[in-house]
Amino acid sequence: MMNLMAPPFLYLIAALICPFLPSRWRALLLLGIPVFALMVMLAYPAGEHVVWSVVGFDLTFMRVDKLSTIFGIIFSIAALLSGLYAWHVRDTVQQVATLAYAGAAIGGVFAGDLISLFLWWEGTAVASVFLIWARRTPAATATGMRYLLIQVLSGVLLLAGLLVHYHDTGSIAFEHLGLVSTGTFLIFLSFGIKCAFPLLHNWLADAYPAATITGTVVLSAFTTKMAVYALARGYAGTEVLIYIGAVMALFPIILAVVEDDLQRVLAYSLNSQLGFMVVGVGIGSDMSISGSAAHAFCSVLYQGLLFMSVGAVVYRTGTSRASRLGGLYRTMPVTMLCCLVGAASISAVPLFSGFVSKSLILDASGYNGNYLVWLALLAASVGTVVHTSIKVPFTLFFSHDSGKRPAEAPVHMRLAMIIAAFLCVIIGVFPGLLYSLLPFSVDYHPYTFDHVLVQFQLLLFAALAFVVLKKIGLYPRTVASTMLDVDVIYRKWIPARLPLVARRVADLNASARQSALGLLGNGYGVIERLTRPGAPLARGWSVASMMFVVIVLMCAVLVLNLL
Amino acid sequence: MAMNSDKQADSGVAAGADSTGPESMAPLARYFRWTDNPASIDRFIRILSYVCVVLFLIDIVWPRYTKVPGEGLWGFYAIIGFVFFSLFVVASRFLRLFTERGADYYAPDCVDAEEYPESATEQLSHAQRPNDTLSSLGRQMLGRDTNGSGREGASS
Repeated sequence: MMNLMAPPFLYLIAALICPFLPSRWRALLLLGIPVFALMVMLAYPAGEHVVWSVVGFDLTFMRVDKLSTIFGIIFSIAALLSGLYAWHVRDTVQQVATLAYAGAAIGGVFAGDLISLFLWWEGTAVASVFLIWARRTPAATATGMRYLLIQVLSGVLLLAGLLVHYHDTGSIAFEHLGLVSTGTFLIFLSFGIKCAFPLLHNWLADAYPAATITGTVVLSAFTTKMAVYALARGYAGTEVLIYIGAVMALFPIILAVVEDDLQRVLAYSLNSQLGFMVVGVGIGSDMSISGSAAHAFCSVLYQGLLFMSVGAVVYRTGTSRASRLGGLYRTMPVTMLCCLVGAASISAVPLFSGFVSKSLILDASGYNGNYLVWLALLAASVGTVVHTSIKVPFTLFFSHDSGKRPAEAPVHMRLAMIIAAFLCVIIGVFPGLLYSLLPFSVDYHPYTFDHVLVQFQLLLFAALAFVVLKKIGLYPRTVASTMLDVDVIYRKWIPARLPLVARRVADLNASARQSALGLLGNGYGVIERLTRPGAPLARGWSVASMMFVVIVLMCAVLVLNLL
Repeated sequence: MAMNSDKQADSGVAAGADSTGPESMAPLARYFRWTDNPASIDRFIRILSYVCVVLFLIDIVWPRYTKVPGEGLWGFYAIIGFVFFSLFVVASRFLRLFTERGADYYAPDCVDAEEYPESATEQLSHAQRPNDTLSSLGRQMLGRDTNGSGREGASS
């Protein structure tokens, strides 16, 4: 019975009883469970707990150490804030999905073996898709199906990988794996899909804007950070991750700059931030792993804050299209200020959370001698300023006046945003609070004169570039459009070419059949000619001739045998 | 006047002088009204430029601690910030030539081609803003306020 008190199971039990409660109690459950589960989580001592023996395998559901705990804490905070933000939501489907999704994500970071990790891994996929389908539009249904297919593919790869890994090693333990075998490669690929590696990333920008307003906030917190945790646990120090992360940090920037849908801009921005974390995991030093964990922690907060502020605008205006918005600061000043705090945090302005976490990864890459990667991350930091820190607040709240005068966000949304903003500032001002939670103790002081100076130089000159480009008319205007991404391959190109390919295959099949029938007809004609009356095979042969033929054949066999 | 601005908002017409008046603004927003004034924006840009010049000059007189070759060059971070920002913008404009399609390119299987369901939003204008406060939220949570019914999605 005590085993059911483990945090992931508390969420699942809450999800099970949620549909049977009155609407206000359901909303209260979304606030109460994260707080209660967090207290239970912090009460667990380090070590392995809740070990169940199932068909000969010992499944560990609570492996508590500093790495899993920091992710567990931030997931609980994210669940609480999204519950508060979604106070107005009385949709049972979304409430159950949120609880189950948060529980599965927390289960994933506390899983001590690959089988239980797989169960939670698939749990996040299945639970989260309902946050997209809850939008209840045909497009959301189609997008949810694409999302589910990709997420389940990740789960299938994890299952295949763990089976091969078990066959190779006889172990299901989820410890450091490394890229050493087919099994570990499959597991790596599975993690890569959920972590949105380059070319495997598009589900993120496709699905997150398709979820409900509150669903997008929930989605932004869990899946990708769980994948970062899994990489940190299983593949820390895998060199290829450094280069994957660097590419990941850079490439979404160009797509985000000209994207019109601000929720999709934030999805690309999230993808870019994940790149920083992946680089940290790839470097594998104590400082860099801690940097990744710290950045994941801060990213959940500031990214959630940005999604919340854009969501509040959607709630009041019905759109997240930059081309239709602008000048909203007049009537949504609290949302605007919270958005600015999120923007300052993601671009690592001193005294905001991103500054104390991103610099850990940047410095780790510099000290590690990865100078090009360090430069790429520096460029990606500037890119964050381009597509998120300036673009999102500027186009939403300033820029041209769209003429819209929406009411300020409801009080519960404002409260959730203010708490998230407060946490971003508190972490930025008192980084020791965050550093004390990190998996490895780090002796790092972000507030040196040099560090603050170079950060202001980087950011303010980027802002100056924005002003100059805006003045000379080079800064791109956002228009209602779709920017092609790699998903065009499976959403347009393959379906467009499929009929042609099918026709070619059908033609090939028909001609192959024709040729085969022709050959058969010719063979039949030859047999027919040889066996017609008077033909060689139909003639009466003398015994002597037959014996001669047999002897020749036997001699031939003898000679072949001797050879 | 507030109603006037709401009509403008509904019709999607850009707001005129009335809608930027203090009556159509939240009290907190009045601290940011300078952003509507071109002269104030010019002053802001001038201050930004002066600060940038000062930051660049500090770099010349202050020997920075470096961990990467080249990092110690004068104005290294300033140049990186300015150049990369410009590069990203130019690269995006270039990429746009090849990758931009109409908003309904993926229709009907993409949310870009549809509006967000109105029933899941509460599109009130500033004039219609509810008088919700922390205490009203507390009352809703305690079940003493029956007006806090949810809106997004179907309730069951």
